[in-house]
Amino acid sequence: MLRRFLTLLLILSSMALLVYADPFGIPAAISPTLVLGFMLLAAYCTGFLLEPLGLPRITGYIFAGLLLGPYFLKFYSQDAVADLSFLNSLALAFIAFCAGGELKLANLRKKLKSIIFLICGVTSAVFVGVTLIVFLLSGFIPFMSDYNGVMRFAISAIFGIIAVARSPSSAIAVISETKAKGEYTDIVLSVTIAMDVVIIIFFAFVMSACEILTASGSAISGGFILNILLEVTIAFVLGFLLGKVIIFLIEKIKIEFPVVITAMGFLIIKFSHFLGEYLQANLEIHINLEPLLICMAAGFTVQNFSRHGATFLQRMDDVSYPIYIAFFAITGASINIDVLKSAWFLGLVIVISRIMMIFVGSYVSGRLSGDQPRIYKNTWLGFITQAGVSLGLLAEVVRRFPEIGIPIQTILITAITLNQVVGPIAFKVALFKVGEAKNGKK
Amino acid sequence: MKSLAAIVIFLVISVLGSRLTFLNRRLSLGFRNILFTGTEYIIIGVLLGSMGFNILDTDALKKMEPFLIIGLCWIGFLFGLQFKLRDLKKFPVYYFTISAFQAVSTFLLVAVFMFFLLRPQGIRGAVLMMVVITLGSSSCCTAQSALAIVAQNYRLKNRRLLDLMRYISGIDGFYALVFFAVAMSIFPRGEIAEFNLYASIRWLLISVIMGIIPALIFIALSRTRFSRQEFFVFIVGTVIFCAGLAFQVHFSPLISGLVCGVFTANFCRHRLRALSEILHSEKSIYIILLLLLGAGWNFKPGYILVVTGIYIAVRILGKFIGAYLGTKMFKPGFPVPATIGLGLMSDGGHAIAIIMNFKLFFPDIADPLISIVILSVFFNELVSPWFILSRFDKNERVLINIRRGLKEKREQA
Repeated sequence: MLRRFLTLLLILSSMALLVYADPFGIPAAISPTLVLGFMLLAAYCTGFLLEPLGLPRITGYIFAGLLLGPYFLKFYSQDAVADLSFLNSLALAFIAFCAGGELKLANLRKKLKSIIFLICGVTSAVFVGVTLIVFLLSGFIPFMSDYNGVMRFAISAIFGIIAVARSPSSAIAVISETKAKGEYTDIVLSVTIAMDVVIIIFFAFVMSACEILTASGSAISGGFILNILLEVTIAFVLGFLLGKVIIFLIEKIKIEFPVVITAMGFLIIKFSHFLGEYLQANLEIHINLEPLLICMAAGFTVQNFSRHGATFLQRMDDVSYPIYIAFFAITGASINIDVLKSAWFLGLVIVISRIMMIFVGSYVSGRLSGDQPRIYKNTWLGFITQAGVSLGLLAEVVRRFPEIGIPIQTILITAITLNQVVGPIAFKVALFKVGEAKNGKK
Repeated sequence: MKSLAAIVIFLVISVLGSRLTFLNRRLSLGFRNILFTGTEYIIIGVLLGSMGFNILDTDALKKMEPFLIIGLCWIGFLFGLQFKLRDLKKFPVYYFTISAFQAVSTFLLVAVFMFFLLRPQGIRGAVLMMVVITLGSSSCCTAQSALAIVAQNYRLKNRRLLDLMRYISGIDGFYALVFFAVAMSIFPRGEIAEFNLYASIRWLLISVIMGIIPALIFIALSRTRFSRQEFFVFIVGTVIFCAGLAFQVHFSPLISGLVCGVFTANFCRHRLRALSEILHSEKSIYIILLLLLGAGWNFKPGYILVVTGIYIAVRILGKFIGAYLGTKMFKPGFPVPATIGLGLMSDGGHAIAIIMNFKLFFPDIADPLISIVILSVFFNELVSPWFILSRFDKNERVLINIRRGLKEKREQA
């Protein structure tokens, strides 16, 4: 422990010397390469040092990213963090592959009833509950109070849909850290990952409905629903094909490098965005392929339609650690304290109402599906964290509703940040409580 | 979109290439000399770059810069990890001396000749010094690829001679990097300005410290219990941090990586573990460097061809004279031909890393140097295996017949 602390001091002091003392007289901004190396080492040490307090390591990484970043110790600027944002795409692709790979059909079949009940129960409870609470409070929310009832309801629905999103990356990271295994772990992970697919479809429906309610878009039509179904189908087909390519690489060329797979995911992300923009600009076809869905489907294909599932996950696991550290440290560094300060109260209200609804939804669904009490009493603790997907959806909200998007984003980023801090801790506590964690301190 | 294409191309070629190349295939010797030593990637790079189809334009190459910085540091770190003093002491003294003689003599000869050849081209003062020292340093290292090809295909009776040549080629990169550090210290801020000796010396010292800091962090991290995944974080984090530190202060990531590696090798008990982890990616990183080198090559034939010809000739002379003097003054206890230096012509590896590092800080004046080194690499890779074989008597070498060998093995089994 002392050695890790001294190492952290060494890392911080060498960086402080460079940034504050500037012994070389070079005024240039700190390079992204240096920021990345510094983040990796400093966040690792912080995660390690906070572990004895019972905090998951990812909380330590997020905390390190925040503490060392532009608002506190100022070792690097917001620009430097923005330069590293491509790593987020890379990490998200990697996490999506892992998430898909973790979904085993055999396990899903065993727990299918619980999973379906939980998805339906938690989604409806959180969406309806948060929407109603925000709607009831809308008279006191400055930017909403001027609108009429329908508009307020539409905005509340946006809050509701974002509240449904989860974070597979955090779930996988905590499970990987605690080496948890068992019924509870399987259910939470399966629901979290499956929710990522559901939320994307659900989000598209809600957004379009909101566009109609706010009278700024087109009407819901059969064509629109078909479009969404088409997007999802194409994503699954592409994911399946990508999975087959990965199987081919593992089987025939003996390449099992996770770096290749991750880069493929990165390219899928870029390609999806490029294709969407190209079709819109040149052919006026509105198709937004969800890249994470493609990567998940690919991981799922490797796991369930080949004999290399275990090898695939093992190889990914070998290199996952630096990717997780970098991803969560960058996430921490991206937290905007100014936003947090301005909207913390509303954010807190949304966090509390969301957690309450998650509890109600998971408790009721667990009981209805016949789960054991030790499971349905604790599943809510595994569903709190929010991260990348929620932020991605928020960006889409801002794009579609530029006028109201920014205040919605401000409040929800605050809520997501709070969930990011609380969620991993709660999940770790739950894993120990149900007795499925095998590694780390309670 | 071009940068995306660049990433795809680099990725596919480097990963597939690392599986296919570097002696993994058995072709006739003529093909092997040029095709599977890695030099083919320079040609692929040229085809992709501005001299070819321009798929990798300047912007795309600029976006690859962080990979280049980390790659150079990775190579330096890997090389440095092999310098554990306790292990090196096990070798006879003449190994060091012969190696030092051939490296220093090649460096001096090339540097002096280049000085007089490049001076009429308008390069003057400290810039000229930096250029000639860089060329001298790139000339004095020997690549191991040709030696490996010969060793793989011939059963050589004078194994000690082959070992000596291997040792020299394994260690002389160190001298090259020391000379290169001197070259880079001439303009410590990474931009051409007035030369200041005090600033250069100060810079060199601080740069060594810059390499030691990440090494200390790595050693401290690896002194407690850790998992395999955590060890991977230590290595990746240390190399990226070291590369970032070096680049931030406009110092060579290659040299910083070397210092970090040497320090780690001598003070960390997990040296071999680190070495095996880091070796996994060596081929891919080397291929990326070759592709970048080829893609960024801007060749303008003319006077540079003359300079290159002289560079190659003087390099051969330097290797020959240095090794000859070394073997005469510090006599090894086994037959060593007077022309052993001619077996050390293989070029590549460190020479390419040095020149890429030079380009990173001085892109405006790097083109002629890149041309010289690339052409020299092509020439030397082509002729090196033949020169190495010629150092052994005809009756001392037996071409390994793979099929017959396998058949014999099966029969024995």
